[in-house]
Amino acid sequence: MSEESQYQIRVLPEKPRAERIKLLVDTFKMSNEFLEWKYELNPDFDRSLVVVAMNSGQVVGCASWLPRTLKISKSLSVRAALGADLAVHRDHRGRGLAKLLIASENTFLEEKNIVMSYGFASSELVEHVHGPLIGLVEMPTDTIVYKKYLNPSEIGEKVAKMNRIVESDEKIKRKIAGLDLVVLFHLRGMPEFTIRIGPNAISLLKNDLTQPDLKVESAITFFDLFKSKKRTLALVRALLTRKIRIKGSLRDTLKLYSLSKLLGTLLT
Amino acid sequence: MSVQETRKYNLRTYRTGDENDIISLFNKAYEHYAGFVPRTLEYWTWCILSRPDLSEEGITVAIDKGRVVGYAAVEKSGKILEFCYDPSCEGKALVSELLRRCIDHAEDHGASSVSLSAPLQDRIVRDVCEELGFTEEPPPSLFLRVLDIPYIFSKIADQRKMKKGLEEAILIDLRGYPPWCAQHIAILVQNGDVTVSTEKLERPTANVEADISTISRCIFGSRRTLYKAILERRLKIRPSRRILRTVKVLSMFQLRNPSLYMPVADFG
Repeated sequence: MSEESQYQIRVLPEKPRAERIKLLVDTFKMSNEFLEWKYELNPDFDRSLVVVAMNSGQVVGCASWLPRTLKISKSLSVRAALGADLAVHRDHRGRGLAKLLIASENTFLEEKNIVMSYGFASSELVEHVHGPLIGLVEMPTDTIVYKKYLNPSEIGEKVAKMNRIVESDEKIKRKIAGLDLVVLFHLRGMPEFTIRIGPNAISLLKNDLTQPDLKVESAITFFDLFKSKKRTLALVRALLTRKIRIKGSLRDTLKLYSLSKLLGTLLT
Repeated sequence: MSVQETRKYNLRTYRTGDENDIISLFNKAYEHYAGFVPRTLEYWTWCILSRPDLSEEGITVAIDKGRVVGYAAVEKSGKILEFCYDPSCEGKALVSELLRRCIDHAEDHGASSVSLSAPLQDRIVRDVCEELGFTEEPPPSLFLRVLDIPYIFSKIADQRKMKKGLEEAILIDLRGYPPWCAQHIAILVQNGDVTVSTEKLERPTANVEADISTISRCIFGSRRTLYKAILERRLKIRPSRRILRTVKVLSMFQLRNPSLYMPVADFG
């Protein structure tokens, strides 16, 4: 029996509802209250557009679509379905179950008068999974997100994300192992913060406790820098026009530059 | 003009009875955009008023001469779900006041950041965000696919005037669509009238072959998108001598790069 056929994909029955909620709570850290609002209280909610993957009588995966009216041009609105909350139980990951759930859109949107389906996901995921499976395509949008950091706690989360990357990438891990660099960042839109890079990980330090090896000041947003395909050229231009200032030795600056891709995680 | 100028608008917390003014302001402010759910009382009540992380204190309206001219809804976490203002007002002062109030609300609830998604073209919001120390971040990537192409084609055709004298019978063979979606589309152009159906034409003047991704891209793209798809052999037109005339007809069914703006409230 193939691994995929272990699973039955079906519309959410009444009984394992709590199991699906638990799966979503565990996967997305959503509260029960939020889930109840998102689904049960939603005026457009359609129970037949919530599907679950069953394995030995247990809910091990789920996916849903939220129908709504969507404006697709200045004067045209259509019925569309927003793909939401795809989750797979951690014990069943890596077996193609997410693909089965995504592809089930082809079955479950039938007879719903849905003209279009859409969703939000990472470009890589859609390129390798959603695109080949159901033909989703990326649409450039005219939206931008403005963000103002009020305290460094979110930066702490980003540092944790960087450490996960370091842990999973041997090349970066080796680079970090040879470093012990303290960098103070003074960036637009963010409170001042200091990080120590190396020798085993990246850590967020309390400002003023350690003398930094490098001080990075920027008058532009780092999104401007990292969204550019020619990142090196953009960085050099920003340095020459003094939109970014780095105070410290050239040796330390080059060390920091060698980690610019990783720093993109922190700064975007 | 600096955003530090004196208060011009009366800002207050939402009161029962403001709903219709807020909804009409929102729909008016974004009438030139696509990509969002047009606000109705039912949708707004669910999407904003019933949302668990949002208290009524997080909903601010700006009043000028007894009229609602600005509005913002911010979660306790600092996420601004909806933000709009009357474009006929002095926008910079109004946007600044509304944003400051959102920042105060987020700070009062211990949020680590404040974020706002806005149309890229909105220079007033961009300038005020810059002055208030916001940084820019990329929006989540939007992915979509069109399922009911005949419906969208018919709706677009209803809004367009076709040139008289153009006589075409085009049969589009669709690849990769769910089995319950139309697999063929026939476009008949006769003396300025356009008919879209799912019948199979006996003697089409041109045969078009394309997959779901290509058609979705072309509907939201420009004429250039069509030519690019032809060059990349994702859109095949036979006989090749009919390519120019067929592209002319297909371009009538394009939304022509609509500006897509996605308020966080619709998906976050």
